[in-house]
Amino acid sequence: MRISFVLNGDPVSIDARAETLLVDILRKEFGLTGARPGCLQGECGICSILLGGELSLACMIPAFRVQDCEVTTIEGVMQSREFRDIEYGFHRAGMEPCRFCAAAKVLVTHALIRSTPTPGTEALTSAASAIHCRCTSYSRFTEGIRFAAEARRKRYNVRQR
Amino acid sequence: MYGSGKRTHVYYPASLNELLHLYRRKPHALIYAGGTYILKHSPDHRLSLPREVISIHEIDELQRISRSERHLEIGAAVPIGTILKIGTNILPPLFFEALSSIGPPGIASLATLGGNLCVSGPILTVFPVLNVLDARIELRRQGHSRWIPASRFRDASGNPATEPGEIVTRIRLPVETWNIQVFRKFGKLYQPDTDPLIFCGLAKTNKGILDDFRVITSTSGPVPTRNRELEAELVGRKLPLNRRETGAFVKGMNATMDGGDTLYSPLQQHRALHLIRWFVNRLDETPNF
Repeated sequence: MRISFVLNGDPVSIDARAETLLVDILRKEFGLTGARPGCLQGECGICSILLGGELSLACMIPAFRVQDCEVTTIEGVMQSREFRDIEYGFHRAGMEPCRFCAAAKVLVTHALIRSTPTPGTEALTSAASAIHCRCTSYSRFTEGIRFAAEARRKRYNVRQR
Repeated sequence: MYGSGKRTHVYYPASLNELLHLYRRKPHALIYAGGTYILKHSPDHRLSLPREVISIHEIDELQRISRSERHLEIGAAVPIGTILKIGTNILPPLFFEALSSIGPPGIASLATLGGNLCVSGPILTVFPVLNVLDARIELRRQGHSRWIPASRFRDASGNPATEPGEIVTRIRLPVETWNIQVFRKFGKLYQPDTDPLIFCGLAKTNKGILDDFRVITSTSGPVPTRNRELEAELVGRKLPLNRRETGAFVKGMNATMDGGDTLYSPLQQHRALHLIRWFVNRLDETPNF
């Protein structure tokens, strides 16, 4: 079937079978390899993307579900200025995620601080639980998110002045 | 309105009327909301869809949340993550905690309330919670609508009690103040080998008297265990309950589990009875436990 959606801000259209998973479409059709197929069970969170601005898992989304929707991958987030805040936050927390989960952790952070500029402990814990990778401790990850949120608030305040 | 692949036709109704009309013509089509359960249970991680699928993510009427003095109404296709954003000031804490336990944010943004309720086969998290809250569910088919209590939503074999062409459109939660609310979940409900168990307890206490009281336990199916007669026997009693009252309630629940349609493993039954005893023994304590 013909599927049209917005990918990283650009309208795209492809022919795909309805049941093809979005993670496969992103990697094979568009060469966007940031979302990786991990457990394919919705457990590990490595295939995280933003669907309509909400954090979602590309291994849990069949092709037909993205019809007329907006999809943002790590490649799209990396082009935005907001990525610098996340990079800074992670660096300040001394967090060095592995190559397997780094993209997903950036997306989780991006989604959280966009919806909750000042995330509380519960929101931080919930966000950290989205990615199951032991390369970084949860406390360091939540710290990284907190610093990233702080950097973004600071930048927006500066801009408002 | 629809696209076609080699095997699967996907329909995208834009309104509830269009959906009801379509579903009446195609009662065997799969209604696809979040799809998380379907995908988790696909063999070899490959999704296999039936010939006809109706995607309901574009229907506004199923995505609404409204609140009155007496009720909170939630559309069946509202994602769990969207409901959680309302927060515990409006949602009953028991309901909030149950929804939070469904999955991480990536799953919660896809999974829907109606989807969790309508999965045929195992009972998932939402059903026992709606049951204990005495929620009501709206079922609609073209030209007809009815509200049923959540407790009657599943038949004795555990399947949703919907008629052909009928779909769940809204869930109505009564707005009530419970000063004690407890939710506990063990294992994964869609994996019976993890000995899954859900426990929900609600109580209203006033001046040392038990005003209202509800307890439900559930495994993955086919029906949760709740005994309204035993609950009614404790209502009006002075707190703390004495050992005889507590013992009689636990014994009664044990007998209900033994005689019910749901088979409890020894571990599940032991956990359930332990939680019931723990809950009943602490009704006179501070609410925040």
